[in-house]
Amino acid sequence: MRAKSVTLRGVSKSFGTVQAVHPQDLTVQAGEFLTLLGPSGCGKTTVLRMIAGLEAVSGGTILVGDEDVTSYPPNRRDTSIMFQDYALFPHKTVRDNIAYGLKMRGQSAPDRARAAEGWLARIGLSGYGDRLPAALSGGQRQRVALARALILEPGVLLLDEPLGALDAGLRRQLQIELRRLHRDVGLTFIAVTHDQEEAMTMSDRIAVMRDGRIEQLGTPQEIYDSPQTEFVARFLGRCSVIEGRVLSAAGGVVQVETAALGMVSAKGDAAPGATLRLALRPEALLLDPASPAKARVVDAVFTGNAVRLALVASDGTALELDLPRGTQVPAAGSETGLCVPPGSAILLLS
Amino acid sequence: MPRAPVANLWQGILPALVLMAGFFLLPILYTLGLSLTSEGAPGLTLANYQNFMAEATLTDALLRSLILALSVVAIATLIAWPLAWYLAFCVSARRRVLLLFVLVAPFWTSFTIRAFSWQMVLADSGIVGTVMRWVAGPDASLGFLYSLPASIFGLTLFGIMLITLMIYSSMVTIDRRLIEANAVLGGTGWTAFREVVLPLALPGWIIGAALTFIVAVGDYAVPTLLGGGLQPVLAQVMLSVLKGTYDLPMAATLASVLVIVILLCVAPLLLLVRGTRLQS
Amino acid sequence: MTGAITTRALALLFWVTAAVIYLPIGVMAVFSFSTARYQILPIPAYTTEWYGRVFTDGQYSAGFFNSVLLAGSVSLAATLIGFACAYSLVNARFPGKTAFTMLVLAPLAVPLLLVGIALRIWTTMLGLQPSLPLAGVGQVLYVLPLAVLNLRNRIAQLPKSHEEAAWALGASRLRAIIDVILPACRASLIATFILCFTFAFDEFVIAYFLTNFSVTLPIKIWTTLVTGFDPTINALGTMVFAFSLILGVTAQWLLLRKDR
Repeated sequence: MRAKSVTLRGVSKSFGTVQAVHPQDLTVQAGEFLTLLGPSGCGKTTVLRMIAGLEAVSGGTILVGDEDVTSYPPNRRDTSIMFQDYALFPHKTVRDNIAYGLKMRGQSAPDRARAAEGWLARIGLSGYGDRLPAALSGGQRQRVALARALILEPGVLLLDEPLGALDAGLRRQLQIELRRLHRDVGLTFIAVTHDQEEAMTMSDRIAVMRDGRIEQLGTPQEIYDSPQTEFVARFLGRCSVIEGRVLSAAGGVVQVETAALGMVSAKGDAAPGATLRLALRPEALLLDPASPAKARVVDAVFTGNAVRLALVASDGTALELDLPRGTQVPAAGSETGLCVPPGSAILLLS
Repeated sequence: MPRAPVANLWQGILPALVLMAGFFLLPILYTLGLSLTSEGAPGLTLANYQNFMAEATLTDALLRSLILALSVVAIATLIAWPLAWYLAFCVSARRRVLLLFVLVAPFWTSFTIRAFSWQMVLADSGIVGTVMRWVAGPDASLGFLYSLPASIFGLTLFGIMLITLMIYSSMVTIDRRLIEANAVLGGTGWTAFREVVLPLALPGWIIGAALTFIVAVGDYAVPTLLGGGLQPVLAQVMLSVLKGTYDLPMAATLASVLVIVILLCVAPLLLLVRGTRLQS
Repeated sequence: MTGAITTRALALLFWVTAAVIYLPIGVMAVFSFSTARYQILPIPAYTTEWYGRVFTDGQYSAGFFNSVLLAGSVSLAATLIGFACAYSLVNARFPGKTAFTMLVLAPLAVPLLLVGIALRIWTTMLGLQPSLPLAGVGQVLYVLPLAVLNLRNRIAQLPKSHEEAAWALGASRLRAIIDVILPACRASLIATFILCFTFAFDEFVIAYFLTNFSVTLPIKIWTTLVTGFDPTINALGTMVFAFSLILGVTAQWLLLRKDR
């Protein structure tokens, strides 16, 4: 199968007076796994449905590969979509479900049966061909839905909350399976999810969306290490946010005077005198009895591989840090010193 | 704006639209229009309505229809509220389905059959007459049949079923916690009814009463079989005009009078519904 | 919440009301087996003579046949038109949806007499003769609201994703309806058909107004009642009641079952 790229130019969508998606540009490279991530109502599903052809665009163009598919029906776009509820036809057998697309293309019955058997073997469900979807488990149904989509050899596979219908244990397992499938099949995958862990595990790149706009686009590493806005910082991973004033900026490093933690340095560039905010990941805040920046411990929560401390800084800001196992946990109510390793604070642009 | 990729299949409504417009809306509008015309006099005229108002037999028939319909609604209401309460609050959920079925099932069948079965029962040759002669001697007669009260009786049974069903549907959606809250605040069963149940079930009653009124004011079978022909209701007059004298403009006028009566009586009820914010 | 005594009183009210409602039909059924012409007690002798008469009397059979044919066509038409209408109401966008819905449901709130008369006046003006097919048209718009309500509810329950999946896999709109919507609506479609059949079969007013000499069973029953009492009517009435009841129960049962 040959993967195709997907390009959105100025694509927007409004429902009546409500603008669900503001004009967006986005390029999904052929063969990459890109996830649209965001809270409910941010427009991510609308974007996916517009790419799929299930929703008309209010403005802009969509290209799959080099072809302008904006006005094409869903089956002429070289895309295949897998729905959150899998949408397996309940009155058809597993085999008939998988072969349905081929039937719509006019393939003969023997050809269809052969292709369907091939895919049943690929997804590990040989022998299940005559069963009805109701007789399958959630994970099995997902595999059938995938087979049904992929049997048509699309250039792009679209996934709407692919793991939303599964319980936590199954979800983790299938996150890895989906990633492996992506590598095996080599297609472009575009997925939609609200679960940041899922996005980070599976994707090559993530587009974080809010209120109908893509707020940041990058690899999971880039987005985690360098979120550009407070929203993105909070949506992926945990963080504390503190305010401060820029004292000086030189050589890509900014010195910021903060009320909560004193002088903090961060990578980036800003005008001296400007007020801005910094994000601190839990692992970017350390206990340092010698530090003049003090905070009071409010709570300590055991999270499995670390202890999460909740603290309040001297100016009232809430802070969070992770203590690796083995470190002594300060008592609740006690005061402790904190320090931020140079450059580990993140400059937020807005 | 680019063409939508998936067609908006609104065309499915076309057969229904053609049918309803051509065989329901237009005929009724035409009939109303016909009532405003008169042989020999060009243009619109209220002559037919003036003739209607002047003719005692006709206005009497209309009056009887109104009395019939209003009595039916009133009596059925008195019985329907307790019945609905019983079904909604005093019976387990499983039994409810069964009891509802018991109540509703007879009304699945032909109106005509039900009406004539009552005619047989209430006639002197019927079971009631037989029992009365046993009890009170060979000359005893109920004398109930072939009168307006008999028609009211026949239609009331239907009204009870319909209004109970409608009130019940509203009652059953009432959050039990509201009633518990009422009890906690010191209310009794009666106040629970008055303060909590009545306002919330009222929309159901309104719908049931409106539908019952509409059926009763225009019914033909029951007044004919149980009410006799001596004191006809509007429906009976309409039929004799249509099948007997074949006076179409008069039939149109009578039909229009019926429409007007229904609108006048039902519209205020429906406005009440808007006021109580019904969800149908 | 309701006191024990009140509950007993209400239960009594319910059963008395039910008894009154069932009384005439029960009596009719009992006396359909009596040799006597009238409902006298004690019953002189039992017989199935009246039931036999129903089958041998040509007019009753003709009436039954006409009714079945008419009701069958009417329900088929109403189910199909109702399905198309319900599908568009649920899935399509068009202006005036509320007004249109009210129009389609209006026959529920209008006396049948009115519909019959208006239709008669209108068709006379158009030069159409009263006939069974004409009565059929009237009956279709009488039962159409039921069909639309039932099917609209059912179609609205179906997950939109199933249809969309079919489209994405290359099915045309029509194909998707056949492959996805119809199978899921099977029970509702049958129940709707049966429901419409029951109502159309028993319908009297429209059939009477829009036919001259053709006879449906309700019309035949009516003319017999009006011209002179015939004990055969007891048997016929009981059978029609049983027939309608069975149809109604089947339809209700189908509707209450969950479609998978």
